Parts: sequence; C-alpha cells; structure tokens
Amino acid sequence: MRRVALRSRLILTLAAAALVPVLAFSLLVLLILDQSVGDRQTDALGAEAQLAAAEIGSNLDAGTAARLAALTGAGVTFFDAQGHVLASSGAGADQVPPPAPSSVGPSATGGSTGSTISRTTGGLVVAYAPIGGPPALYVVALSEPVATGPALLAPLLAILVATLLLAAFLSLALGRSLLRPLSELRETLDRLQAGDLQAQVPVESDDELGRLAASHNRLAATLAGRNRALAVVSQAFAPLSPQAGVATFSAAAERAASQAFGFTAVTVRLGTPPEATPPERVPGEAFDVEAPLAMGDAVLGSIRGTLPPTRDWGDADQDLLRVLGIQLAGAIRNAELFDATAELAELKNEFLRGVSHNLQTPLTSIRAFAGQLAEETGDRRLGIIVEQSERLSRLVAQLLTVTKIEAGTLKPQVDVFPMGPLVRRAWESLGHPTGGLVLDDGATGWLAAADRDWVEQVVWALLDNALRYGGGGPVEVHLAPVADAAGVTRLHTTVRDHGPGIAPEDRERAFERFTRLAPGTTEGSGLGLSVARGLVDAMGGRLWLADVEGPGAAFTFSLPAEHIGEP
Amino acid sequence: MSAPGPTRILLVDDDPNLLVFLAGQLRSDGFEVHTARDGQEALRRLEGVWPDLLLIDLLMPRLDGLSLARQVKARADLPIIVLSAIDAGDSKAEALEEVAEDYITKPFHYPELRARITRVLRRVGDRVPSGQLDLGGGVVLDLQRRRLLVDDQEVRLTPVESRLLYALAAHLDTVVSTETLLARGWSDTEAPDPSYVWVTMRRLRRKLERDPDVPVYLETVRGVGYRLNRAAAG
Repeated sequence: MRRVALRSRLILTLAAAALVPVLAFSLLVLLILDQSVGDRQTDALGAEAQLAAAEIGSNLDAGTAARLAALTGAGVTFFDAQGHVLASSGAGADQVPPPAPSSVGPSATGGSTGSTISRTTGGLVVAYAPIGGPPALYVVALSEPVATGPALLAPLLAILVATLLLAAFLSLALGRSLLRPLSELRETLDRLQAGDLQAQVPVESDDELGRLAASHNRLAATLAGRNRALAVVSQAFAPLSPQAGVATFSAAAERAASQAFGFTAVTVRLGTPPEATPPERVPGEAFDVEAPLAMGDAVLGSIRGTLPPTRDWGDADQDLLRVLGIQLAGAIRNAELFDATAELAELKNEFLRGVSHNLQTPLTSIRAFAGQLAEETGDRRLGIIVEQSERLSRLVAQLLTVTKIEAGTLKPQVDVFPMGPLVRRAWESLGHPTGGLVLDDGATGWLAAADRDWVEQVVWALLDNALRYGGGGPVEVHLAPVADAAGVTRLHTTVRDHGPGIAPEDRERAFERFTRLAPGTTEGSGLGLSVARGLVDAMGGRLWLADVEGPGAAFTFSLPAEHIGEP
Repeated sequence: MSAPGPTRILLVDDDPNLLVFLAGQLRSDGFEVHTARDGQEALRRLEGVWPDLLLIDLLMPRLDGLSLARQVKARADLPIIVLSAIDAGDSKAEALEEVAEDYITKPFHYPELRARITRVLRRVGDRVPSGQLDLGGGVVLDLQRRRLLVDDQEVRLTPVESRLLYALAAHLDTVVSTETLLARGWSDTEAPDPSYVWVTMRRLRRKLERDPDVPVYLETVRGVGYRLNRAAAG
C-alpha cells in the first residue's frame, strides 16, 4: 500500500466501507427472497398436485396429462404404485424421477395434504400426490423448474453496481476536496525548493490543513528573509578592495548588518571581544545581539546590533551574524596586511631613492670636476676617473633597475633614434679605443622606437660584457632591420665577441641574476645581462644569445623600428 | 618674463660640491645664478629674487623637490627642471611630470643640462592655453598632463611627442618649421636629424588621427614643416 497514492487509498477505503454492508445486505435479501419464493412454489405445487389427484379419476393417459399440464402450467407425469411412468406431458416431465416409496405408502395417505415435495438434480421441483388408496394405486407428479434467484439476481446486481459507483463518485469528490489543499501545498513546496520563496499557499480554513498551510507560509517567509540576509552578508565587502582600509570595511559591515537583520543600531568595535555572556533579553523591550570578529582563534573585535522587541532571533540568525563577523575579520586582516605591504613597498622605494641619491650625487660631482680638470690639464688619469665614476653610476642604476623590473613598474619613455650613433657613444663611454669596435650598420633608413637611455644601458652592458669576456679581440656590432612573419620590421642589434663563447647549456643561465659564467671571475655585478633583458622586454623587444659560427658569443636584441620617409 | 638682462636661475641642491660646480658652469655660460641648499631656503630666496628658471634637486632635507615645485607652481608659472637620481620609471617621477617642465637624471653631462635649460626657456616663450585644448572632432590635448583624449579615451604621450605638440599648439593653424620642431624635441641630442621629426609625426598621427594616412589635425606642409589644425566644424 505504501506506493499507492493517498487519493487512491482514500477512495479504496471509502469504497470498501460502502461495499461491505451493501454486499451483506444484498446477500441477506437474496436468501430471504430465495426462501420465501421456494416455499411459496412448493406450497402451491403441492396443493395443485393434491387437487389434481382428487379430481383426475382413473383415465391416466397422455391426453389427460397434457390437459392437466395446460391447466397448471407444470409438467405432469403419472406413475403407477411401483413407480413406472404411465404417461407424461413430455418436455422434461418424462425425466421426473419416480416417487419415493414413502409417498405412495400407507403413511403418505394419512393426512389430507397427501403431497410429497422433492427437488431433482435437474433443477426441478416435483410435487407427488397419490391417487386412490391407501396405499396409492397411482401417483400424479407436477414438476416445475425451481423458481428462485436468476430472475431476482439481475436487479439486485444492478443495484449493487449502482451503489458502488455512487460510493466511488462520492469518495472521489470527497477525496478531492481533502486532497486539493495538500496538492497545492506540494506544488508550493516544489516552487520553494526551486528557489521561489515568494510562493504562498492560500489559507482557506482553520482546520489542520489550514494550519499546515499557514505554517508553510511562515517557513517560506523566514527562509526568504534569511536568504535576503545571506545575500546581503555575502555581498557586504564585494565592491571593496583591500586598499579601502579598516574603517571602510567596518562601515560596510555595519551597513550590511542593518540591512540584513533590521538592526536599529549597530556598532563594530575593534579590539573589544564580545561579552562572555550573551546580552539578556527582556520580553517587550529592544534587545542586543552580538558576534565576534573571529579569525581562526583570534578575535579582532565584535559586531553588536540592537533589534526591535518584535523581532525573532533564532540560531540561524545568530549563525549568519557570526558569518558576517568572520568575513569582516578576514577583510580587516587583509586590509591591515595590504597597508603593511604598501607601507613596506613605499619604505623600500624610499630607501632605494635615498641610496641612489646618496651615491649618484657625489658621483655627479666627481665626474663633473674630474671632467673639468681633464679638459684643463689634459691628464689622462683624470679621464680614467671620469670613466670609472660613470661606470659606478651605471652599476648603481642597474641595481635600482632590478627592483623596478621585479615590481613591473618600468615604463619606457619612447623616442626615435638611429642605433649606430648610440652604439658608438656607448663604446666611447667605456673608454676604449675606437679601433676595437667593428660597427656594421645595416640599418640605414631605420630608427629604433624605444627608450634611448635604456637602450644605451643595454648596449653598454653588452659591450662591457664583450670586452670583459671577449679575449681581447675586436667587438663586432651588426645592425639590421628584420621583418617577422607578420611583416612587422624590428631592428636587430647583434654584439659579438671572439672569446670562448657560452656553452649551449649555459645560455639561459647567462641571463639569470648574479650569474657569472667565466670561472673565477669576480668582476662585474652579475646583473648586466639580466637587467638588459628586463629593459628590452619592457620596450617590447627581445634579447637572446644568437647562434654563431666559430668561437665567441653573440647577443642579439630586437627593438620596435620605424622606417624613415618624409610623411 | 623678467626685465631684459641675463637669464636668472635659482639652483637648489643639498650637495655643496655640485652646487659650486654647476653654479660655476652656468655663470660661465652667462646665466645669473642664485643657490639654495634646501627647499625652505629656496622659498626664502624666492621672496627676494624672482628667477626665470628653477633647477631643483628632487631629494633634499626639510622640503623635498616635489613639494618645493608644487609650492612654486602654486604661486607662479615658473619653469622648473628637476635634477634627480631616479629615472622616469619611478612613481615619484610621474608625479613630477605634472609640476616640472623637465627633469634630468643624475649623473648627467653638463652640456645635456644646458641644452635642456635652453629648450625649456624657449618653450616658455610659447604661450599655450593652460589646461585642455579642444581640437574638435573628439580630440582634446592635455599637454600639462602629457596626454590626449580621443573620444574621452586617454592616450599617453611620450615626452618628445608632448614637446612637439606643445610647439605646434602654441602656433595653432600656423606652420611650424621642421627645424624648429627638431630644436624643441631633440635639443639635448647629438646631431639631431629631421627624420626624427618625420617619424615622430607619423607616430603622433597614429595616436590622434582617425585615419593616419589622411591626417586632419597634423598636416604636413611640404618642404616647410607641420601645422596643427582644429577639425573643420561639422
């Protein structure tokens, strides 16, 4: 029965309740009717048989039987005292069994009602009456089919079926009226589950069903309210970034709490954990609720709100407030970390600016005075001071550039310039005789579009590298415009030395910071190539170790280029 | 502008050696030089002497170069060149761009500094409406902040680009010769070549023209130079 719908069960119950008495009643009626009909038939048949026996005379032939049959409407059979059939009206009457000896014997003649009734297996009622005697000389038998049920059964069955149908109809109607609110409730619950918290069941009565509907409506309203609160709580800090600061986050939490829980007053207190015992609630008065700003085991403070006296405050509400507290604690911690990080970053920048300033300012003076003196006296040693102070400046600048590459704050000041003169100038600033440089300028008609100072730093670093590890041979610089697959032309600068070169497995390592590939070398910062690559990348180019034939290393870098042509 | 006579420069740096060296060099180049050791001293000097140009070191005790430049600019539109040991990539350098005409990174060659002084003084002669210059057709120049607004979208300008636009905007609807533009843009560069102007103009057109091949704002006047136009009304 478990799987059968409630509706079917109700109908079945009602139908069974109706069916049992109807069936019992019908059966009783049938029995009574059957009994009375049978009695009446046998009485009548017996009386008719006696009457016939008294009046029939001795002419017991087939003609008499037929007349008697027509008169009584029953089959007529004549027997002699031994039970032999003398004559019959036919049509089954000849099948009537002979009378029992008792019906023709002396005892059968005792009363005036001398007929004997018997029922045959063929469904006949037979009345035997003796003629003459006693003992009887002959017996007349009137036979009729048993006149009971069949004729009465049909109307009875019809009544039964009609009663059942009526009962079914009634139970259906009754069941529907019972079940309709239930199925409405089910549909509403389905909508509720699907997320439609506005779904309400109409409350039509004050009975169990009505109260069930009202309960459901309250549940839906509570869920909808909590849902709204949850949405508010979960979105409380969504539009804020960690930069917003602690005060902004606290204000946002207060706003969210007011909106979500309907607080009439709300405060976030940092550094103050919630009170050990929850605030007391006095019926009919506004009351306070509170949750910690919890961050793991740490409690950063509390959030406390005041609710109007009519407001319910359940465990679920308290949980939600606690969630808001945890969120706020997380946001505050993030904001604090962000502030600390930003502060540290600014401190670092400030420190580096100071270092740079304090190193570059004296270097500027040294170089300026040495340069002035070199011009006045022509002393070559002063020239060396100029070169070396410039070198020192570049190394300091490299150190600062490393931190900017790390931070990704490099912004090139793009200008257009020819590469050839820049390479020569960088070479000259290294203080080496121009004879050591072989410049093959194949970039006539093209200008590099990049940060001039940066490119000079890159070229300087590559030339410096080539001089240091190039084994004293000439440094070759090759300039050429190269178009890529997309048809964009870039200016390629290749700096080649004729030293031992760099083993293929060391090629990428060469660009790592503080890497010196030449064994035993302590000269140089180990930053030159790494900084050069960072600068070239920031200008939209690339720096790599090219494949060359023969000994030596070749560094190539590409830069955005512009073709010269008067517009 | 001050009365005719030598150009007056107020040099502010906390390094006495550099102060002495630069003052000597500038004087020998015919400038009248006043010096100050920090920002507050510079402000006191400004009460007595009104220079044609300020050379300010960025990092100084008491009042740093950026604050000094802001205070000066709040009082008068004096041209300022900042000397600093930080380069253009630094966040402070960006803040500087709004108050200083130019800056030069330490260490520097004196001739480079002198070229920049000349260039800045020349530019001061160009009177460009301060604030924004609406060229029509959705293009607005905002040279003080070194940017363009094209349909309200910000387009950053490089220092050279903004110098050229500055010179062109000072002579709106008038031809500016390629030589003049070259001097404005590359006075501190060795052997500047007119091709720098051509290529930079091409790059500028990509930034502000609807169709760089059919320029409306930056017009080439063949054999002479360039002209900055407003967009034709309608």
